[in-house]
Amino acid sequence: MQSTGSITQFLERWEAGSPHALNHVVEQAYEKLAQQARGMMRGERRGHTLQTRALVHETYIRLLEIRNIDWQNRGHFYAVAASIMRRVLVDHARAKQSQKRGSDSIHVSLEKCEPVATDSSVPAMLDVVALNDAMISLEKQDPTQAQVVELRYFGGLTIAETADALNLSPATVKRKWAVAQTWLYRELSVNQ
Amino acid sequence: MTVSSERVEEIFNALMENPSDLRSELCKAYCGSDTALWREVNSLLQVAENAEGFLSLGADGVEWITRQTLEPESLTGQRLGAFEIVRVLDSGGMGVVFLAKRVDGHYEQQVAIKVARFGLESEGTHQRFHSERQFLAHLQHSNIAQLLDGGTSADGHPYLVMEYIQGETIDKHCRSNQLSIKPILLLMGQVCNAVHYAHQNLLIHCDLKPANILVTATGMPKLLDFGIATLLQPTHFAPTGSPTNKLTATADSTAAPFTPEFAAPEQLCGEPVTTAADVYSLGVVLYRLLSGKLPYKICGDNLQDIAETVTNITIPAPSSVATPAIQKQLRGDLDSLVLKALHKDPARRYSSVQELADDIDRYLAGHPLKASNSTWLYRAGKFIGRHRVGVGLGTLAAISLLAGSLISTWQWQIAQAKQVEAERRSQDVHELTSMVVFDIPKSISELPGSTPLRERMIRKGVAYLDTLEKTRTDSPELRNDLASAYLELARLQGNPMSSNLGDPELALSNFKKALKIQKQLLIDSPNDMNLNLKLATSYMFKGAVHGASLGDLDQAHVLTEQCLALVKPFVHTGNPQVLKRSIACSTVAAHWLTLAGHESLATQHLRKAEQVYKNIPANHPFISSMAGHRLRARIHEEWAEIKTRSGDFQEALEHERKRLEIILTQLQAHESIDRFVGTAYHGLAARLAAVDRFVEAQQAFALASTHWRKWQYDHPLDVSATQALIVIQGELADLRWKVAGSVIEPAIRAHAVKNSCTAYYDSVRYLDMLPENQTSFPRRYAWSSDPDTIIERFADRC
Repeated sequence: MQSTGSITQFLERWEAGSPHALNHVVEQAYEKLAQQARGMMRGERRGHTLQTRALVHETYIRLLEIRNIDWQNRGHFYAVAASIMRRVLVDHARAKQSQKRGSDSIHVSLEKCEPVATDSSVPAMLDVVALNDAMISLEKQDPTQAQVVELRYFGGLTIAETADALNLSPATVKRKWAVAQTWLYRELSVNQ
Repeated sequence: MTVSSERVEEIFNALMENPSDLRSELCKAYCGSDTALWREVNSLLQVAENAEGFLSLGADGVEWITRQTLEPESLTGQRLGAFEIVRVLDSGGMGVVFLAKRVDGHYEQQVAIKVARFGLESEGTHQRFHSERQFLAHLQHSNIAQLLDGGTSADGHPYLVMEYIQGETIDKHCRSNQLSIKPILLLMGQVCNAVHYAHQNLLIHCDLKPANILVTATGMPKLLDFGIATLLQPTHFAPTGSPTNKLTATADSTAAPFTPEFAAPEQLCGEPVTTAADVYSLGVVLYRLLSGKLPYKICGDNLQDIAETVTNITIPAPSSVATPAIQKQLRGDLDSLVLKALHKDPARRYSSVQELADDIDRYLAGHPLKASNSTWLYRAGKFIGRHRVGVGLGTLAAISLLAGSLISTWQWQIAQAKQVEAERRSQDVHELTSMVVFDIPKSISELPGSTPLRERMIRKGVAYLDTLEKTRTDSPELRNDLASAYLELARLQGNPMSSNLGDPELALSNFKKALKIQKQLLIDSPNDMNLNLKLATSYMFKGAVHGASLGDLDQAHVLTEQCLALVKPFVHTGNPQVLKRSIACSTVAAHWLTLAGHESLATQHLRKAEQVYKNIPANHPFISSMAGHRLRARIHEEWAEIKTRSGDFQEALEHERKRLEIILTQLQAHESIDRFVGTAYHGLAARLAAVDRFVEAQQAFALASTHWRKWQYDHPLDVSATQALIVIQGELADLRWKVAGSVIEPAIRAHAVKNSCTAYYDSVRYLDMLPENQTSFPRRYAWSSDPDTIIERFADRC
């Protein structure tokens, strides 16, 4: 009877047909996923826990729907989770935008974006749909950079974890992250 | 011209390491004449400082999540279907329970409505929810809260309308009414009946606990949430800090939320859950109600830690934790009843909730309990056989029936002297019966617990063939088949080398029938390879029964020699079956000779086996076949035994390792892999123990025991598994006893003795599971052919 196991082992078991195994994966990964979700929620001030949880849940449901993935390791799992979170967020942001269309503008002027570190007041929100569009352009130009952003921003992974997931050195991830962030910022500013 | 993103990345990062006032100049220098590159990098530089940290911002467009989740209060006063919500009854992680009343004017009715916290997204989820709801609505039992209706609210939250039960939880009820043991058991008996009813309807509760068992004012227990949890909750984790750490899975899986305090170990470990999990949870509830305490405390939130704790903990008898007043009443029967329900190994619990209920009834009526009965394993086996084979059984039964009716038609035709038709029909009967005897049993041989079923089918088939054979003495094929059927039957009944029913006498009588026919056939065609091979096989297996089950090593050896003589003339043909039989016979002959103390003769036989093996060309299919690998492992096994007997422990150990390696690397796909691995680790453990390598030996024993237990769980009627476990635990106990003897420090010594006794106890427990007619052991286990020794040592030492 196996009572312990790494995420990777549980993923293997899940793939082998044990639906419970995913519970263990998500439970183990829960804090991480919640952290990813919290990353998305920054700026939202009320009912944080519930929202992050809901995002985790939605991600979890979608993970279940795509159980035919050939899981390689936990890094891969986070990568898939990140990509799903991205899709979840973008889908719903789109739905929301289409509802709002015609009323006030939903685009947030980037001029208002202050670095979080220097300003503790409520930061502005990113337009996920616009960011997503920009990332699609970035993917065409440099897929690895886009992956780094997906894992870091949508996946909430640290530099080290991203490096682990992509099998790159942390220094490389850092460089890719720096340039991709600047690139995306420019892309979004231009489109304003 | 396109700019390489790698170059941009490189230069950009290099520039960022420099002071900002120098970057612009450096950029020109780095890019040189490549203006496109310069333009790209420079434009990034322009925004670099503003861009810093911009991806740390939150994302817009996430408010939907808050909207999707349920604000319970907002629903008060609203209508859901025919009902109006009155107030919140309970609010949990997965949903909110409201009290509601019927407002469609038909009649007055109070109901409980559960509304899921999360909305359903896709059309597929809706459909699934709907169909499962329909299914649940069919569940009607006076002790189960009835599902009345269900639907989806305007904002997409699924809800279920259920019978509103006014009552208190069963533990509170027992406490507040100061119920004594008898009324508690009566109450739990009703609960068991309800759970059993649900099981018969293919529903497992998975979260039985006092909070889900209410008792009404009239004293009627009512189960809540049967199948509801899974239905309402596609996915959920309880909020951190909630008293119980619930874990749930999806609506499309069998997984459901559970409460660690009441969950079975296999649930905690994420293994597939069967009705045995509900048996366990009912055991925890019983424990709680009878003793006033939980069998163990759950600490921490990490499911893995919890699973580990629960798996390793030894549950104290309920009587040992109860107040002195009721200790006496619990001791004995009720202790074993509760602990049987709480067995870590699902196969060793009550095989159904019905059995648990029966034992409760027996206790109340003063009858002896099944919990204290040693043959439960066989009933468990039957249960598994019945349920796991499931659908397939119908087909098998149909085929058997068909064969039976064909036989009678055919006999009728003979009686009517309709020779032509009878002739034609006999061929059909023969073919169909062959299927019943050979093909079907083989196809279900991997099914857990199928041994008795196979035996029954073959027995039936043999009877048909026998009838056929009596009227058609002219057909050698028929007689050959009949002999093979007898052989197959005999092997299932008592071949100690594979799954068998442990009846050597019955096996021998059928071996004899097979041999008689085969010998007669051989008189007519003495050079037929297949006939010779078949007779050789019969000799070898009959020898195994004599040697291993009846302890007649000489007879075993004689029969193996006959086997060898029969196959020898055909070895040169290179036929894989012949090669297999030849090597097997030599090895088995060596085995009997070793046990009889004739090591040098045994060595000769083993060398012969190796010689035959060596002469086979490397590209011969036999070399890479499973049978080939198995025999290679078998030869190492015999070498290990011979070397041990001659005191050459290091070499013995080496052979055991090689054997294990072959099994682990080459035989993983074999249906009997657990059996092989268990035997091999056992061999290794014994050799390690012989050279006092205590730590490694204990590890190997543990692994042996794990694999054998797995095998036993899958093949509950295979006595060889129980025998192996008796011996493994006994040898482990002896080893630990030896360890204890070498320790001087009293506290550590006491601990070591306790460890040893645990193993003795396990050994005796397994011994208790053997059927009464099967207490003689295969002689392979020289450790103790006499179960009394184990009991004696247990009694003396513990």
